[in-house]
Amino acid sequence: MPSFHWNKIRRSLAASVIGGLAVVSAGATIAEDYPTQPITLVVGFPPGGSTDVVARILAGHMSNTLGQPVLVENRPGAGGTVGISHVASSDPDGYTLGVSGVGASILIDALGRDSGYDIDNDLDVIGVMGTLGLVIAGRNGLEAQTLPELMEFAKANPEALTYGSSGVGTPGHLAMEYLKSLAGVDMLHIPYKGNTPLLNDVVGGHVDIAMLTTPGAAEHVRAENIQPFAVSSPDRSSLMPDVPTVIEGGFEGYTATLWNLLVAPKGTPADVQAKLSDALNEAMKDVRVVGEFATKGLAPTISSPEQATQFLHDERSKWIGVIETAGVPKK
Amino acid sequence: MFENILLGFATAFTPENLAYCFLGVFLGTFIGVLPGLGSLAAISMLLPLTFYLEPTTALIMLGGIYYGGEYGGSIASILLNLPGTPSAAVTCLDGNPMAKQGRAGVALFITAIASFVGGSVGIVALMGFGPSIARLGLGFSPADYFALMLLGLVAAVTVGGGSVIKGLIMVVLGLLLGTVGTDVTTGDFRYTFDFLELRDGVSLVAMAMGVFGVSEVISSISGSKTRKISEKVTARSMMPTREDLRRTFGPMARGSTIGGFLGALPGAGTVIAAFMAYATEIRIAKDKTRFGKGAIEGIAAPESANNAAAQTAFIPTLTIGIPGSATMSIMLGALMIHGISPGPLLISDHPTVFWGLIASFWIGNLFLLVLNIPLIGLWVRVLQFPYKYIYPVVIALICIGVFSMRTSVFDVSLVVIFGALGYLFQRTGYSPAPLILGFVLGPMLEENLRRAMLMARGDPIRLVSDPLTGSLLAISALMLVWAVLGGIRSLVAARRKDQVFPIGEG
Repeated sequence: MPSFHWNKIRRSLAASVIGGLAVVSAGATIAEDYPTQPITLVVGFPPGGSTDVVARILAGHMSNTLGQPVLVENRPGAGGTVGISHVASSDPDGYTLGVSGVGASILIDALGRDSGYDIDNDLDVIGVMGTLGLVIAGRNGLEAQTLPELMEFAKANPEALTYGSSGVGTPGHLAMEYLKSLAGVDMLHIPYKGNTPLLNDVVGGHVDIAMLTTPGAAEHVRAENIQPFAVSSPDRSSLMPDVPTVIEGGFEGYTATLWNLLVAPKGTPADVQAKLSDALNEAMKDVRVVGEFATKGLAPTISSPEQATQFLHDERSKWIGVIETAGVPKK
Repeated sequence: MFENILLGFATAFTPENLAYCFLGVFLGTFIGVLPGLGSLAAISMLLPLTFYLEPTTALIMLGGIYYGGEYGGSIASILLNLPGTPSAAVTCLDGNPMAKQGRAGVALFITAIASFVGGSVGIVALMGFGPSIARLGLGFSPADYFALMLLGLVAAVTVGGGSVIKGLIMVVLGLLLGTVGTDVTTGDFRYTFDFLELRDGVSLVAMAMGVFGVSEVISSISGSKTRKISEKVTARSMMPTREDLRRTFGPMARGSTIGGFLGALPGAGTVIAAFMAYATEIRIAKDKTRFGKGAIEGIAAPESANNAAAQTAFIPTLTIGIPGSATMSIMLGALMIHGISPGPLLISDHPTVFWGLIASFWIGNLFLLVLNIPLIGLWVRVLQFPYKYIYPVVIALICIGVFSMRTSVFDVSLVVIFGALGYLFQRTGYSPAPLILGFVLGPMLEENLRRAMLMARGDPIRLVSDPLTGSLLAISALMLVWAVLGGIRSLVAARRKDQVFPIGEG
């Protein structure tokens, strides 16, 4: 984007002028002092959404640790990729960071839809910002009461059941395709534009099954508006402890979780990355953050930049495997 | 019920909540007036501030901004032909001609009254039948949504006044622009030209501000319009005549009903409510030619509709925890930040939040009325300002507003493109109002039709055989037949007139 280049040029110019030197590269910050100015944390989704909430909880605590405000900036668009491509083209000085989810980090590229950046070459992964489980829920009035019963019915009646997802190529869609391929069943996919209209239609009884985020579904489960079958995380969710996992339902090795990564432009100095990583992990250990995470169905994660990068690689091979086994068409 | 209302007022009447309610509606009106800055942008920006408030107080303020914005959005529409918010675009059609006739005061007065009436109807619906309306909304299947949107589209052809053919062309253009972005059913990108920013489609605010706002500014540069209003604004000139008031009763009642119903349906929203109310008035008017030339019904109906819709939009949000619009999602986000899980049990789990908020709506709407009527004189004086001062400010505000929506420079460029297009439309006599409606309805129409067809396994008979879907489709068909027959009849009448008075006689 021309604007991004302009930003870069302008910032470099400003840096050179302020430095008063002929050779000052844009990223040359003195790392020991870091941070000396507010840090921008770019979120690729609108305010109030689940990614935004995660970012704001962690940014609040990281501001205290780092001694500079960490400001959340929402640049929503194209499944989070608009925000992350802005981060990818920013200066690697540690003052522009991003929150990159499953879609922006893996799925969009894995499905052959150009994201505008290459996460391995354009971004450094600093840490994992918690994980979030999904829940397979059905409309009221379905005969099946458990996941095995549901899969049995689906097997006996191919394409009789409809399942909704929050969109083509979203984790919910792929997680369901994954389960379908493991169970050897066929259900008709009905894509929606996000979680909200999907929730509306499963509560209203227009679609049979939906893959929903646990915090979005929890209240409807409690009010018995929908019937939970299983959670997709490896362990049961703090929000609905009575609901078994898909693994407990007899599908060994099945996990599908949403997560976010703290990313920075490639080339961010190692000591800046270390400082950010420490601040993130510090936040993850904080009692208040842990408490807030629990009420939102999030599981805290502690990771070094290397571990987080490894996590990204592992998740990528898993999702690419899912896309191949389930035969999801690539573009 | 009664004790709940008392509880609500007890919550809303604390000094702190009253102060934040006033702050909310005041900010809302102000932001609504500024073109480009809508309540969505304002609420997003103020959301972090609410972390430090009580959840009820936070919601009272954010709610005030939301319906206050609907109120304020029409002021710039009437005075400058620049809609402050997309839902106020309809108000330009008759509001601005009224201002040009020197009746800006009357138009603003009627707007204030109609907004109050619409808001009140919406609150009564929310208080009395909230949960039942919400259940009714849940019962709407994708097929029903499709049929309802189609009805809206058929009604839309009449909006904008003037040539039906030109109206149709603009609706179709709006529908086509609505196809830009990611196809929901397949995930394919359509007409995105490799721009990441276009994958979510064209921004409605950028488009509305371009075709209405920027084009208005461009055409004023060309000097085609010279300012005529210079007379003093007296209290008398603000007062509508008895004839004006008589004409507004029906439109306000119909507008509030239509708006109240559409607002409660997730996804329909205030823009569609305002357009549908306007289209209904044209449909049932005896003299259709008055519309677009300063008909008072053309303000009363959409203004009561969008304010009723702004209130009933809280029904699905609060009673079942399913937000109907982006703004409502942020409201729910505000609750979640405070550890309150929005959902079907909100009313029983947190009665002070629900009833306190509803009580604050009454108070807020009263504040708006009291705040706005004395301000009319001040607003009208804006017209006496030279354009050379107003327009640069307007352009700057539009750019700031559109940029702040998604922190996107791309959207600002879109405003420029749509501004140029809008000027072209204006010069060639094409009204941008049907364009906006087609653009808003098109994606919903397509998405729901394709979803309904998927669910019906591709069988159109199954789609039509549902009683609700079927009857909605039948009404659309009847309206089309009526419109075509009406067209033929006037054509025949015109021919006959030609025969009686052969050419050359006059």
